[in-house]
Amino acid sequence: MSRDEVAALYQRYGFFLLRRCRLILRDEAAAHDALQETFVKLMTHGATMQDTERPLRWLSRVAERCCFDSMRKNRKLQMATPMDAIADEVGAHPSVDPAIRNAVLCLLGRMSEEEQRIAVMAFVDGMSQGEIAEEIGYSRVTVNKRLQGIRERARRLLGEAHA
Amino acid sequence: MPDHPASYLLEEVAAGVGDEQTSQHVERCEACRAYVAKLEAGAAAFAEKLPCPEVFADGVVERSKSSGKRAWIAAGAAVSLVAAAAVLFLVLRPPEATVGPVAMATTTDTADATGVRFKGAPQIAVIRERDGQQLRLGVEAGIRAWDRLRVEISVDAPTLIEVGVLSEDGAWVTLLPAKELTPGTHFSPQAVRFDDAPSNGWVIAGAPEAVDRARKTKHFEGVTVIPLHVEKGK
Repeated sequence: MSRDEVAALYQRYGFFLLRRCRLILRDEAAAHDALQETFVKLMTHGATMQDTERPLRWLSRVAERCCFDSMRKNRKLQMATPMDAIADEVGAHPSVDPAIRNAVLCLLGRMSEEEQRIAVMAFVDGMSQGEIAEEIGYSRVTVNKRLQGIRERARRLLGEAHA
Repeated sequence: MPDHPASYLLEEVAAGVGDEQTSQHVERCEACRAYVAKLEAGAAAFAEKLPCPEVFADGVVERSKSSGKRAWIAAGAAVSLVAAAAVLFLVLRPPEATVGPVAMATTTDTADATGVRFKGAPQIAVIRERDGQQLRLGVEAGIRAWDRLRVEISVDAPTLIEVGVLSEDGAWVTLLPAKELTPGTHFSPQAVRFDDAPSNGWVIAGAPEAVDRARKTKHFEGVTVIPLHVEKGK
């Protein structure tokens, strides 16, 4: 992957990737850091992306992994921004309740990597249980169980916030 | 079960690379149309504020080369800091005074540019971000774990300049690859973020060959320098 190709992909997809990093990390500096790390990985593994028909999706998944790594390295990131201060000019996906989404985003730092992936697919991307199951190779029943657990914790957090 | 295509499919539509099926759904679904419109507006605003993509790519190339060096983590090209730190604080400085600390420390909140101007060598100041607070430092900068720094550079004539951070152990992170700057104040497209064990170092700015010499010898003649020292506590 050449420098010019990186520049072109950044120009085309930078906004979408940065927004995703901001949502997951809730820290401006860390989000920019994760975005740059995403493109570093692109330079290293760019050949893999060239095989895919959906470069934005590929980049989004890489960006998410960079964010999850960043979270693990810096736990205090997860306490950085209160739930109602998550800045997102676009808003939640049409299938997703914005309050639940924000609560889930605040809980990401306390989740396993498996839960983090499922949570982002469901509450950021608005993917169905079937779509998630297909992407991560789990049964739909397993995905459903994980989502129930995540949703329950998010509701508890919302309850605490409103108490 | 969601009735709408997943977000990444709608993002593809907003980016102009959507598939036929998703595009047709967006045409007939008001909620998705509104979502895509917001994505498009966000992407347009991002493009307006976008630092030069080639500069971003240079930072990526640099980071991919330097990854693995501990203590220094190159951070992404930040757009948001530019507006917050855009208060100019320029000082009159004799052309020959190109070594050592410059300007004076001040916060971006209190800087006053009235009647103050600069001449001669490039002036630099460090914008330090810590716990969400930004502080502009011109003489020296204390650093702690997880601090993030970028650099403000002011020149009064077209100047070929390179800026970076050198740690005591010799690790180097480029904040501004060699580039001719137009007269005015600029911000480094890259920032540096420290890990949990930062070491002392220097922010170095100057002509590329002078910066290269300073990196190798740690003698700072002919370059502008702001020393970085690790603060104790916390």
